[in-house]
Amino acid sequence: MKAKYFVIPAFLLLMAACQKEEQFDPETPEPSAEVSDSVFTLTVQASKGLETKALWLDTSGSPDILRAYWKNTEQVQVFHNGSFVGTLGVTPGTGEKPSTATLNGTVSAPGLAVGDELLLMLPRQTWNYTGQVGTLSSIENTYDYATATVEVSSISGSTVTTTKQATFQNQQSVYRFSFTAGDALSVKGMTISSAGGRLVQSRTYEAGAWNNVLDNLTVTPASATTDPLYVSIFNQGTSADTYSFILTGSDDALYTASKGIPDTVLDTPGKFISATGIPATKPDFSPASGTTETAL
Amino acid sequence: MKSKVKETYKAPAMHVVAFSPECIVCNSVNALIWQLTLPSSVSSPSEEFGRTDYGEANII
Repeated sequence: MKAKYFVIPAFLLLMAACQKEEQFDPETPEPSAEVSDSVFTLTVQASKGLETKALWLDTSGSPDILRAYWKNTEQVQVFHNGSFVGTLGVTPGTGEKPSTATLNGTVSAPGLAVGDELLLMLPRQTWNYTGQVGTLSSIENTYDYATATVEVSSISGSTVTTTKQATFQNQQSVYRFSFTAGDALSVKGMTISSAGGRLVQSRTYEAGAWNNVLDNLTVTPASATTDPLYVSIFNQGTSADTYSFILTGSDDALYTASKGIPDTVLDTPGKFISATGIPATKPDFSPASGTTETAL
Repeated sequence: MKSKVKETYKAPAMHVVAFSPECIVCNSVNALIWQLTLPSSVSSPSEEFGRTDYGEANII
């Protein structure tokens, strides 16, 4: 009997507890509805050569032409409303030298709708221009950044179709520098500064906006060389600028040089700019009234 | 009577998982399961992308 007295109130309490909890039962969305609005398979075609090198300097004519190609190891990051939503891999097309490649992968983009714009970024969202060594191969591997935009034209299930002609635009220019000090100057180190303080050392895409870090750029060849130095430079301005150079020669002496950069080459990014034979001088640090030796 | 007690006792345990509006972990797990069970599909190629050259040398 005692047990009966205990079980009945306990039963009522449990029923009451269960009823109370049900009052807070949330309206859980249907899983299928949420999935169809957020995860998509995106496949697009991309023009691309089968060359393993992303940059190729064509010297067959005059002037030289710097061509850009896709690398089959590259990846493309996708952004929607400023947020990273997925990575697309690159698969070259068929044939000896296919001009196209397929970019495919899965993007998770909640709320993606027809008419939305997707930003495609090659190869990543943090761009860093430090640590350059003055060669095209280092630029193509590390300092070659490009973007494109596409527009969503239809969504069918988890499949996204895009329209709007898009081309990946290079976001920095490639410069070719060489110097003379009487003869061709053998350079073992170079620091570049901008009169306008506009050289971007690094930049990061966050929440739909770019954050730029401005500073000088230092280029250190593997060894002292008289060959032209290739440098990837993002100048955040579009008007004329002047670059100043501090060079360390193979003789360990310091040289200085400067070069005016006209607005005609800074108006848009993605150009190949050649400035060779820039005269460099070895500054005389002696006082105006004497020589270095007498000053010491 | 005993069997009714058992059924009632099971019900709250099942509700605890499903209905807490603050249960972020539960929602995340559900979302993960939905994504994992999403049937994959492949769309047809819709566009060709070009890649600009840096072009001819601008000699300055």
